[in-house]
Amino acid sequence: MRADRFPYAMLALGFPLLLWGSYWGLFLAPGETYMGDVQRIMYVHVPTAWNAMLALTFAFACAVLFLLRGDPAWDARLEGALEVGVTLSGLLCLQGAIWAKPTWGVWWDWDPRLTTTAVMVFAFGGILALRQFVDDPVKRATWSAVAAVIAYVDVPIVYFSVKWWNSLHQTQSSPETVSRAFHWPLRINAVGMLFLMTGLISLRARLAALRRDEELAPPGPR
Amino acid sequence: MGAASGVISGGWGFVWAAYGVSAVILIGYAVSVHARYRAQRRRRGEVKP
Repeated sequence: MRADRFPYAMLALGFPLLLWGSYWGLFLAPGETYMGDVQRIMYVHVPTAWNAMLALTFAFACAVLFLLRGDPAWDARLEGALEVGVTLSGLLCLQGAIWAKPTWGVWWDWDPRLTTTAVMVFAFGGILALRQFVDDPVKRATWSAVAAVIAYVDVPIVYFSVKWWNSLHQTQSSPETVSRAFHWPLRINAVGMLFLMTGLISLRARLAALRRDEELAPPGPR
Repeated sequence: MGAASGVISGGWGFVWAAYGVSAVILIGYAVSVHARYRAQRRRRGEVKP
């Protein structure tokens, strides 16, 4: 397979899986005892949450590897992972607000899980903004890698916030706490979102690498 | 909504809204990344306009 086709192959796997899992979750899976049909939002909300955190964890790994090795390829991957992670985290907040209204009665609450998630979106979104204002590619890569390592401190806090503090948000789901009837649509969407996230990070990283090459290329003849 | 019984009934509007927002953002973002990648490659002359 040509290297260029890898991200598109991932997207071609991810979108149909998401469609299949969503169809199962919307029309075939039973409603939940207390939340009824509103619980069907779980099949898209939970995979988005897992993959947003995974994308930002990959961003952290890219940042550390860039700082250790100085290879610009890790900076391009960092940019890709940051943008995809922030997009998924923003989507996560929107899905959560839509689920919160019928279950909690409000669109938003400054609860520990929601607050730490909002901090995560703004911290990593801020790094993307920072990258726009630094012209020197080496400084931009170094500063954003350091900022990504610092911002990543919030990611485990988001994950454990529901255990550490009293929260409106439920605790993490596991196969033991989710009814078997809900497993398959959740798993299919999680795998679909994983393929989608991988394809998008890969494509966005290639774009970042091309832009960097253009920045560093010597001026050509008129 | 049947709030008094502790059981939520209905709510399909919220379900469609969540799936609709997800579809728009995921498809829109994928199209945006693809378009930017193609445009950048076009600038380098790797793909035909």
